[in-house]
Amino acid sequence: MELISPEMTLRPEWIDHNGHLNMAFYGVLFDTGCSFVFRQIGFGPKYREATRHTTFAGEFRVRYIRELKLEDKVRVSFRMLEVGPKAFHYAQELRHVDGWLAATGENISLHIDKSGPRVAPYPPEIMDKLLAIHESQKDLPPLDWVGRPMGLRKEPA
Amino acid sequence: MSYRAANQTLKPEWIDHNGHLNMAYYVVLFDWGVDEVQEVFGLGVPYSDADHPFTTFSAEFRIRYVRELPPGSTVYSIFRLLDVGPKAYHFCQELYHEDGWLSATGEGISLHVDRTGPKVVPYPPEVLAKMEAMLAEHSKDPVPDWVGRPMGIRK
Repeated sequence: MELISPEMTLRPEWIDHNGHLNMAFYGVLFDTGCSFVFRQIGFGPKYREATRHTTFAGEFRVRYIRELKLEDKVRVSFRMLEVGPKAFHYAQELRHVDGWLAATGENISLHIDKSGPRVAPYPPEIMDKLLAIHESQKDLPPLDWVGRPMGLRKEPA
Repeated sequence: MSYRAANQTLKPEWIDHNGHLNMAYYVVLFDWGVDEVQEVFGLGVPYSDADHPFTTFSAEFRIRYVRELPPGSTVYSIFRLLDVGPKAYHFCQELYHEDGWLSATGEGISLHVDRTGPKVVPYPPEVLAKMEAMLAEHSKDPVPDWVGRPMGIRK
């Protein structure tokens, strides 16, 4: 099952001197664009208040593929890659509503006991939802860009 | 040896429901550090002004969140060149609290771009010379062990 966010629009203050979405604000779109999945899993204000647990980002990587301009509307997909007892690994694609790929994201989300803060195991009902999402996406085609090493392309002299 | 950027203080609107710097805004702080280095290379203002043909684009950026930053924190980043090519450079950064502890690491690729394409194009020789001089200086120290580490869940 594909998970795709509602449509999002860019804010004028995110546009830089190059006339395009500044690199720093892709993170805002990726973060906002997965909140519907986090709510579906059971994370949200009620969870944070009732359990004193929350989620932290452990790691985040963006590959910038094509520029976005102010008038562009975008959506973000969510793909569960791996689920552990205290963390999950997921990938995202930021696409223009016309379908073309603007950027990719790859993330680690940590489950946090705020009394530390320290990394803590998911409760069973959250774990069930994480595994259900993972299971529902197992037959989707793999994302070939995940885990590709970062470096300069070497061109023949 | 690496380049240390100026101190910056977190803006209140960057703090999220966890009461700490939201993940998305670390890139803003890292990018400000890159801006300073690009001035050193000759890629800053006026070279990359909107009415000039050339600029830089980010191709990739990666953050490892090490320790949360509370509201009002003052931080600085350090910058290290890893590799320089004719049209792009690869770098890493560390973001420190002013008290000296590590909050996050960054790793990125910057491209030199002709806006009229936009297309990736070679650096002017004087810029490349400055980047290669910095690379020679930074290469005297070992590459941080977290650079290029694959992303995944600890077992």
